[in-house]
Amino acid sequence: MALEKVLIVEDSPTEALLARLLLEREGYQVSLASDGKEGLVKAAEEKPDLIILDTIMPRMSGYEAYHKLRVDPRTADIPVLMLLTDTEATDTPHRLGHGADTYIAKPYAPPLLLAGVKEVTRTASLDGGNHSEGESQPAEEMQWYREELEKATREAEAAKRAKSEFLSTMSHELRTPLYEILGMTDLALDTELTAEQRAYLTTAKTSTNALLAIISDILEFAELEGGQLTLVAEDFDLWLAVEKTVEIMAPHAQEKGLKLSYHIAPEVPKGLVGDPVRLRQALTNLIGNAIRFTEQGEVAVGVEEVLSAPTQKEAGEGVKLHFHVRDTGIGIPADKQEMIFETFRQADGSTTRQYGSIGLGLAMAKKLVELMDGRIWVESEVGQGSTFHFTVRLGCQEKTAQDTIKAARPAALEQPLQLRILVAEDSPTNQLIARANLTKVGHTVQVVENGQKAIEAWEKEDFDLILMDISMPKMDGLEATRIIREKEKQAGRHIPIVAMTAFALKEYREKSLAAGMDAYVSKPVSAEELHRTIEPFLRRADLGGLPEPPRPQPPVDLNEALEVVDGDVDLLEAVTGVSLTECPEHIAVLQEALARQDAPGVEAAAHRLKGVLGNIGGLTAREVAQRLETMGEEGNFDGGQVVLAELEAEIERVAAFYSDPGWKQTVAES
Amino acid sequence: MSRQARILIVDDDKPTVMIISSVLQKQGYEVHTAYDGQAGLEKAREIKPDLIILDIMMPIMDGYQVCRRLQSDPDTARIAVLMLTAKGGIDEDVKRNYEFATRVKDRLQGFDSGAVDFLTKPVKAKDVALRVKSLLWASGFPV
Repeated sequence: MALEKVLIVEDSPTEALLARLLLEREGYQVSLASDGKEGLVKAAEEKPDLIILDTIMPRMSGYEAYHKLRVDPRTADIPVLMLLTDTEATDTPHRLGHGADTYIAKPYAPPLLLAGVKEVTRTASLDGGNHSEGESQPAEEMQWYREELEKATREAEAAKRAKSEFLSTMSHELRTPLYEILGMTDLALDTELTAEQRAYLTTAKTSTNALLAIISDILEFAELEGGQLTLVAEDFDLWLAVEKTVEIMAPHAQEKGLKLSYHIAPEVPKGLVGDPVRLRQALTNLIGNAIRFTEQGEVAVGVEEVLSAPTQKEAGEGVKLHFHVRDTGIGIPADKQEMIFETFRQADGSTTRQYGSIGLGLAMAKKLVELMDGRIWVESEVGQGSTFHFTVRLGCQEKTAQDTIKAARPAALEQPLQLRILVAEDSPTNQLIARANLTKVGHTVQVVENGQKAIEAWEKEDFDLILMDISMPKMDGLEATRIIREKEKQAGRHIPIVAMTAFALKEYREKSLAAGMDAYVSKPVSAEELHRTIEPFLRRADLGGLPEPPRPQPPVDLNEALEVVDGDVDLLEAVTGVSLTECPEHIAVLQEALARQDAPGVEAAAHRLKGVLGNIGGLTAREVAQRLETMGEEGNFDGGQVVLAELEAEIERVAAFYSDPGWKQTVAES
Repeated sequence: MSRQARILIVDDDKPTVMIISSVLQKQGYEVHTAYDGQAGLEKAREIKPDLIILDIMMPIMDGYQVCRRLQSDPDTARIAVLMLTAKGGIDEDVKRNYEFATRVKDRLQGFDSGAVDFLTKPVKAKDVALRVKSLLWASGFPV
């Protein structure tokens, strides 16, 4: 081979052109591709004698490209020379596996590249001309591959359709006799029975119900999968929908000795437009799943509104709600967390046996949530339990939407982290417990012994939250709550009131919510439960918005920051000092630009901040700044103030991190 | 060995300038700085650096504009340029930068003058050192 063709796949233009120059001088014919995808296409088209492949490229890494080259019969035999960074060079031979041709580390001296190229081409021709075979691959064979591939795709699609149809038919067929079994069991249970007979029949009924539920799941799923399911848009009471869902699931939790609680943030509107049946179904699936995988402890459901700019609501965009279901169950290993939402992978094969029936429930919840313009995700740690989150977008019923904005928004943003709590409770023991638990974590507590005094205290002083016992002498908690809510109507405010009930009875819960309470805990109130119940009130204070993708824990990625300065701690300290001093200035510019709705101004200021924060490892803050930059770029400022507040909070966290000299200690230790 | 390479950093972001100049000084380069496009252009004409590190997004005159002016002036056309980009859509940018760099080079016909390369922010010390080294080599400076 006198003149050889070389394809260089490299994202850095300088590196690419440098290599081209070197090789052209030696008489090679060179073409370039700027990323892995383009490289694959060119490799198949041009059939080069050698491919030089960079490893770190956007979109498709060199490793991925390498494996793709090897799979495609058109390129499988073309020798590849990998360009590695020095850190990769040590472990790469393993990653390439067999069939690795050769690699050189960057930056390389020119003779090294030429030597590498010569060696690879020589080895390839010594291999008995494998490569020239690849080049002269008959067109018929290519055609055969293509046809096989198309055939396989068609077959897979047909099989999927058939599967859905089959499942749908089967489920209908199965349900009819099951309903008969259930009906007959119910009739039998109504007759006179011995205790033993009753126990047998009850078990039969429970099992039948369970079977029915599974079959319903399958049917629903088949409908979803077949795209036959459409959502309705009707007026419904969201609070009621959540409450009913929890109520229906409560017996299942009780059977396992689990506590099932829920909390709806007060700013969440009651009257909404959407498909309550499908929403409840998604929620039911998640609660059911949580109960199934929790042996002890509790399952807690929460609903909050994702704050967005009022303009968005007026534009008829509706509200975005964030649901979460937390359990104290077995947890899910990190590598399975993505998979559990997948559809047919769960519905067939070994994963079904591994995960039991959750496969369908979660996959279905995912489909439903996506139909409602939301997304679903999970945070979990093995042994620590899981929290499933999902968001949905629902329509607003005209008037209620307006009310909610007015009532909830400003209060939510201004709440301090440490709350001033009024406790209304007549039992001295419970008073003591509540006071101790709350003051321990920094809240200020005032205790009164009946509803009447609670109202007086509430009128005289400013509180962030009231914990209200239901049954008290003189005036009970329900009455007191009703009066407070009535008085609030004139002032247009809403103080969160949490009921403390002695009995977790359904009617008490209903009564307390009907009286205008926001949540309830059952007595005796454990410290943990109390904190968890009031946590949403705390969280809203420092958040302002929803932690949609779960917030990464530390404010600063120190490794990232150290990489920027190549491990020079003193330099990092100096840079940090300058960067953090600059931040308030940029924030002020940003704020002003935002107020003026000045799109380029917002973009530029956010961009500056992004740069500053990126240098010092403030990755979360950088991400938030990026969001603002995008807003500027698109000229869409919906929720801009909230994001700005979030950015300030994040910068605050970064500053706090670096103001503690402990970070240098961390570096020294590692 | 001849003199050390002279490098000019043009970026309105002070911390970034701090980092890059510190890294390059450690490598023994002669480092100069400017904090906006106009000042960078003037400084380039004055000190004739071997390489310019140029931020793309700057107020008044952006990096592309500075680069074009450098290339159109025979006095500065041969200076190698390393551009810093921090835009969100990295894929798009790589593509655009690649085309830009290739176009510049096609027009100038050859490697010995005006090599242009790109680096995404936040820049890492090692990457800067590496790119600077190959750029200098590419523009004919003995490394």
